[in-house]
Amino acid sequence: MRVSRGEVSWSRASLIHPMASTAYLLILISTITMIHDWIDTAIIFTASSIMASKVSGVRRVLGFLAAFLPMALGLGLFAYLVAGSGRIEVLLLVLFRVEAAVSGSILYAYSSDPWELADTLGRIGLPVIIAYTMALAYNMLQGMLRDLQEILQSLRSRGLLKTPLHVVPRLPLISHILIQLAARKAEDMQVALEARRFNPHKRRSWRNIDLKMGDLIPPLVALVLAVISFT
Amino acid sequence: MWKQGVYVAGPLLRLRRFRARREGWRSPEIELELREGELAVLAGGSGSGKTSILLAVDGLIPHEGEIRSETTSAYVPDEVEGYLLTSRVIDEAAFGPENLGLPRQEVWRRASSAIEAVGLGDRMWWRVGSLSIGMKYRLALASALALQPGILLLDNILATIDPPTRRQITSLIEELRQGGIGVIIASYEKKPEGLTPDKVVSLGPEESLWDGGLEAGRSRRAGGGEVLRVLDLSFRYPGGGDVLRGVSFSVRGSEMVAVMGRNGAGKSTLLKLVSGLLKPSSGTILLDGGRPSPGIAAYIHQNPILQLVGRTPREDLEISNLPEEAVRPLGAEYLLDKPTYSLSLGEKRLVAIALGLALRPRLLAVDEPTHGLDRRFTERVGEALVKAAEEGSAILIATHDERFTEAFADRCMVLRGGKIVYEGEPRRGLVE
Repeated sequence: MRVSRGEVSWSRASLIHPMASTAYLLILISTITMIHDWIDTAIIFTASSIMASKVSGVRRVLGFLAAFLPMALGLGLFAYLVAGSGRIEVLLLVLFRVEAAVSGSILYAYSSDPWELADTLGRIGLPVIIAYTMALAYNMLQGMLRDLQEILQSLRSRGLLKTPLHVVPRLPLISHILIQLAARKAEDMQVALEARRFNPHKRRSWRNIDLKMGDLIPPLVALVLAVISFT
Repeated sequence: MWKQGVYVAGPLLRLRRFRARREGWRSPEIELELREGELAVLAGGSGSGKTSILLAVDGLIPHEGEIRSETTSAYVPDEVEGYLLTSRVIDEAAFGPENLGLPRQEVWRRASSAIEAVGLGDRMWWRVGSLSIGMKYRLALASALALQPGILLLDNILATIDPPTRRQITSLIEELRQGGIGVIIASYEKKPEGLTPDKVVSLGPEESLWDGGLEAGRSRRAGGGEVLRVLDLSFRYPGGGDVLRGVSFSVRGSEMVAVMGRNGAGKSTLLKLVSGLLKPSSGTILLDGGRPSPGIAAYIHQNPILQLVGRTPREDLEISNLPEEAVRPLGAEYLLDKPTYSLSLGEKRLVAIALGLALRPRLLAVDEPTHGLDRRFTERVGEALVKAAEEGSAILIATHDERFTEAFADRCMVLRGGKIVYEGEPRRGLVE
């Protein structure tokens, strides 16, 4: 916290200004969707992974990239077979696209506070109901991801998941638990909001969500990489 | 209280023939007058309507009857994890004042003084996720206090925390009363330990309420052969610190061992390791002489909703190819055809434990078996676990329920700093 001109001025919770990280993600996703050179995509992937590591730590980024690797390889292989040209570049392009999207999303998720994101979106004219719905959905999603691991362990303990492949036939059961959990979480969240008199139309953020020069680095890097790739 | 410059000694809250109303359901009717600094206990068993009454007093659900309140109220639920919605301690306390649309200076004043009041002043800028469960309860209280209520409505918050945290919270409640805040606390006990209630409203049934210790005793069993042996076990989560460091112990068949320790001491992790759901960082776990696996061990999660996959308990039995009789030891036959989502936490726990027992594992690891249970359900669970032990299973429970451990466990281990610091006869006051 800092105090200036007799007014309390709050430090924000987001590491990067939510608008800057949103701009970064939009530029990144647009670029990797439009370019067709695997080397350019690999460069963008490397840059976005380095920036994501600065925000959330190398271990976490590597963990997520490894988790998404089978899916990226599967999609790449599919594209390679469908293209039928025998060019390995097709596989590499899809692989790096998926992993670049993953690392970009990590930076976004770990640098933005959902409530500050909602406040910022509200300030630029997005209806407050939509902005806060996004914040709550983001909050709920984080909780559900934490619970998924526990659900899988519980099913293993009941002998319903004997091998990792059993996840596929058990998907309806897993979805059922997730739906129940979502309903329970929504109920808890409603109580938590109403108990503290939440009113999206009355609510006033107490934090200074000012844009700083450093916030511009990720979108500028993404922009420079986009320009280089397109030229 | 002061009203227009005159001190008025009338009640803060008056409830006459008051009951909460939900679709197709009414809570029992209650009468209550609460004055400044008074503490009222709303005592009742699982599903007796305590939560609904508190929510109705706070205006969050409809009610019938008369309510006259001279002040504002703030509600704190029993499960704080779902209540904390922001990322930092200070943001959480500021959430309520922000919602009231107060000026920034006022938001800061209220949030910071509420955090100081609950003793978290040195952690104001911490991430909520990095707090212990006890601190999260204190933060939830701070968040409610920042609304500057005249009455605090606390929903069974003492039922799920370890004894030292419980003492911190009860002394905080007493301090708040000294400051003139009226408190209504929902509880399974008429006189919660550490509190001196001025009024008690009993919602019954009487056999569900705690009144001293449990009468049920440990069964006297001959010791079986060794089922579980743990040698020099260590564990750390990726990117985290050591949770367990060089833990060694063994459990025999027909033995019930309680693992105790403060919230976050590593009890659940230990149970998952011996059930084969996690792999140790180092050390050896031998279950019946081999590696632990879910077939030989059964782990019952502390949140039963994660374990019940059917739309009804009957469907859960069918999925696991178990007969209807499986739920009989827990007296849960009457729940078989009820939708799982409509069951109370205690009822879900009964079904989850029944499913685990029915698998007849060599080792049954039960995480917080009494969490959210009233006296009646607690006794049922204890007796069913004793019966399973008598039939030869080794039972390992993670709990901070001293009454349950004292009544049912044969032996007790206390975890602190990732190590076993006590192993022996169960008794009170070990988790300090």
